[in-house]
Amino acid sequence: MSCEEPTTSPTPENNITVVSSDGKEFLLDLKLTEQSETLARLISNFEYDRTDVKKDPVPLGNITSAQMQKIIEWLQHHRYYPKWEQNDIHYSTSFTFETWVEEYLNIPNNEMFELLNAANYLNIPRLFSTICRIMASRITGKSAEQIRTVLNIKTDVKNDVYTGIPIQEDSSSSEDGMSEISLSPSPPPI
Amino acid sequence: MTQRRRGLSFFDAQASNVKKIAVMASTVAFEFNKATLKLRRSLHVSPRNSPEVQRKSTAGGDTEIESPGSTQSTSRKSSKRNRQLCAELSSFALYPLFGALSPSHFSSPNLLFQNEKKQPKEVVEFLQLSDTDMYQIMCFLNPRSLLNLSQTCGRLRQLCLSHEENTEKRDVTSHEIFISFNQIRRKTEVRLLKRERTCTDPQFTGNTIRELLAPFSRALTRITFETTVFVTDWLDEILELHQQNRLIPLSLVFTGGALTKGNQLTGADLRSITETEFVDFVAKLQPHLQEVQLSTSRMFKMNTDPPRLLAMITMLSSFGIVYERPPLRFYYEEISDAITFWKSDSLSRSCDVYMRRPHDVSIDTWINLSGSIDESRIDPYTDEILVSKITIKHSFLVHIDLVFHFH
Repeated sequence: MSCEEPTTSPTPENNITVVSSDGKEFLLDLKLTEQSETLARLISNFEYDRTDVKKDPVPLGNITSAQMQKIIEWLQHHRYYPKWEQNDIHYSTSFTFETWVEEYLNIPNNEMFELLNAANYLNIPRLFSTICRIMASRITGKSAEQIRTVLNIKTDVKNDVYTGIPIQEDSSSSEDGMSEISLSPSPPPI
Repeated sequence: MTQRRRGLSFFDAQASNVKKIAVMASTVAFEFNKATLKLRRSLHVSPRNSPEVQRKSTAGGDTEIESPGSTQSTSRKSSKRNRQLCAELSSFALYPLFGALSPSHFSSPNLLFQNEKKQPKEVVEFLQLSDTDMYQIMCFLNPRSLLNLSQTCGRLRQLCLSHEENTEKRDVTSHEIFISFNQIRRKTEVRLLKRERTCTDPQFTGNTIRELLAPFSRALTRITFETTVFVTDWLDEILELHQQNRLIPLSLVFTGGALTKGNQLTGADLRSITETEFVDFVAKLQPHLQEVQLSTSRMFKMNTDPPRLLAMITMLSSFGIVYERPPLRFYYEEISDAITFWKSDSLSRSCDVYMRRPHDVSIDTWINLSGSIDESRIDPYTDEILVSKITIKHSFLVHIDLVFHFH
């Protein structure tokens, strides 16, 4: 997906100010806020897109300044991208990420979860979906124990047939998607 | 005398004064030592931390590099420990003095137990995400990864299972299901055992088939009903799981008939359903079901004429009726009709049929059905030739054979 980025300087009329939870103010171009459904609806409701309306700062109580900075970086990068359409919400073995996205989301898991919450709060579907896909890619191919380690999950299930039992895949039939799963030595059932 | 008494009293008074002074000096010395100790602790002057020791260790090349954060945290820890020690030791408020001297920030005794640690920044963990967020992540996982994720903890497993119908399933053929009656607990149980198992392989037991099926999988398996099991109790669950694409029975085996002694019937109990219901049940599991073995003496009553049971040879690859009581013998005409239907059906598959030898069929009649006799024996009592195995070829499908095994 490519896009042209014409150089336009934001004017005070087409900006709004958002305030992060730690009190830092950010000046946002109205064009950028179109990617956030929450902000877009707010701007529409308060008619902040009109030049004669006084624009009060918008408090974003759930988002810190660091997260806001990161989100603005995302919005800036996708400023001229076409509108996001969620058409594929299933896993795909051939999905690849943009290099910029890979670098942008090359952050620790906890920061990723914070960003996910922020994207969910601001309703930025492209960012939200991308983070989910990246998180899925961090889980894919890992055993239950490895997932526990990666996501810092403490198991709460004991004496359970499903818990922590490695599944050995039949190497001869693992190529195709519908192969036989050999459950050994002490497997979850079937 | 008086002078002497006066002298004695003088000495007594002096002795008591000396005693008092000694006690006072001892107290002062004790308090001084205590204060020195506290001062040293407050200033972190210990043999380990003394400049001499540090200089020596540096000179010896045994330097230890610590990050500023770790030094700070160490000093914070020790100052807290010192404050607690001072508070326990101190009988009077020397604390402000040492507080002022110490590198820590306290300055009055009422701050003794104040936790000066900054609240750590709250770290968002995966399990703190909402179910919706987690589900969105799960949407991008393949069945294997979903299965692994569901094994990590109870909440994730519940979440995975609640959205299981929306996820792709993986075919699994590694286990088989046994439904048996537990004589000790006096209840029917479902056991899940590995195929080609050894005695060390574990078995999984449950009250229903569903609870033993692994998530995100479709079980292609054999189901064995053991003796004393009421089969009708399980038919609905099997059909439901089959409709949900969770369970694909490849083989249905009704066992236990071999234990029959005289009039005491044994085996899986099929008596509460009719022949028609049974055939319909088998038809609903098509085209996956390949084998039905009726090795029970508690058979359903045959209520159709001609028997529909024999028509199942067009649906199955293996079909057997043994141990039934009373013995079930088909007539030549019924067998002939079934064979004719099988030969004309383009969907017929190769099938092995295990059943009692019909009375009224001779070798010639089998040959008339274009069958080839593979095995036969002579009855020692009647000298009659008894056909044991006969193969009938399909009329137009190549390599599709119907093989009867008679006993």
